[in-house]
Amino acid sequence: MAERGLAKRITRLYCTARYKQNNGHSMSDREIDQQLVERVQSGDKQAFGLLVSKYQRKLYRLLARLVRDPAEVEDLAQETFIKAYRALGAFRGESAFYTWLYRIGINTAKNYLAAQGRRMTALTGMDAVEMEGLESGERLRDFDTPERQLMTRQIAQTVDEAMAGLPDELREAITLRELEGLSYEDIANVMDCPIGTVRSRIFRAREAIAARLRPLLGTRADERW
Amino acid sequence: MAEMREKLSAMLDGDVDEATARALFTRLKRDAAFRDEWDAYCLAGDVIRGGAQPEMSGFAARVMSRLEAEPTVLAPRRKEGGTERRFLRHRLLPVAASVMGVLAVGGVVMALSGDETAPAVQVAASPPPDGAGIAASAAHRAADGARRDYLVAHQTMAGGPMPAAVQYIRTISAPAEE
Repeated sequence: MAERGLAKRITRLYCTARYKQNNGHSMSDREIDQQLVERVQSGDKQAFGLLVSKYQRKLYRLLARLVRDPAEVEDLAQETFIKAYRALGAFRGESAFYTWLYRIGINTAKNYLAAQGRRMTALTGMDAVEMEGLESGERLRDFDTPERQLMTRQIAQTVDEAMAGLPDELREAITLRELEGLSYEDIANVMDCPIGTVRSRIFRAREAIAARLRPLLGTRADERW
Repeated sequence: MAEMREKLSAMLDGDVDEATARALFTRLKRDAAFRDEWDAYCLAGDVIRGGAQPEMSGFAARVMSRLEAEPTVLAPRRKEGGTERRFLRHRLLPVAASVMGVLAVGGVVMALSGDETAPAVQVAASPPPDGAGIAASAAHRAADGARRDYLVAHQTMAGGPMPAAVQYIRTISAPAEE
């Protein structure tokens, strides 16, 4: 029994080494963002759309905590992205892209509230990570429009159902990645399987969830970018 | 297609190399359906991590539509514009520094090993401090010859960055210890 465990462990180590050899130096999430930023800086506008798509909800939730006027939150989110695009030429990657975007968002909200003669809450003293901890879906429902609330509920319910319907190994892999933030290598250690299997399981889990989400998402021609 | 989608999923987790990321970005740029995959993966991750998410359908399209009116961002081309300077800084300067270092060390070694007898002669020729020292110095010189041979042999065996220089430094300093 112990020999089988050892053989399995050696096989996994071998597979990990081969995986790393084949994949070269993996880029971190921040490096991926920086690559996108550099593409925008060299004139590729579409690359900015990928950053918008990635951070739109995070930014919306941040602004919704500060402004609390659902009619204004989307406008401010748009304004923040436009300002970020205009300033992107000066972005040198000293901080993570979202941290930089977060500051622009805070300033945009501040200016809006100042123009309204209102003051910002003390929350603005927090950094991006602290603020993220405070954001919750429950809170969003308090001040969003009824249509948005319905869609929000549908999306959450769809993802929950899709997760519940996943085979155990896929659910475990995607949970360890998205909720616990573990790297593929750490997940491989936890699940006692090769990294390539982890990558495949996470992909299959995402595919299954995306398949359930697709009918809900706006993929009409006028909603594509 | 499935292979590209798997790579896209891995890229969201920061698990692709630079070349693969570039290929994926190129594909994302020209393939709207592939961008839908990116959107869906991002949304799924946001919901798993943070529960209910604001409904944002069409938001990215609205932002991108507004961006059409914006002039294209062109940052100072750090990569292309700075290529020569970066090459100079990262490649040529270290090589030049290494060459200078080797030349400097080589110069010192050559200078020291070029006239091997000079330091020994200098020690032998230096006048003793008083008359009593003469007998002691003669006895010492006999012992010093054997010690010097031993030290030279030791330095030769021990090796080191400047064997020729080091052996003479030790030999000269030996009489001063008494």
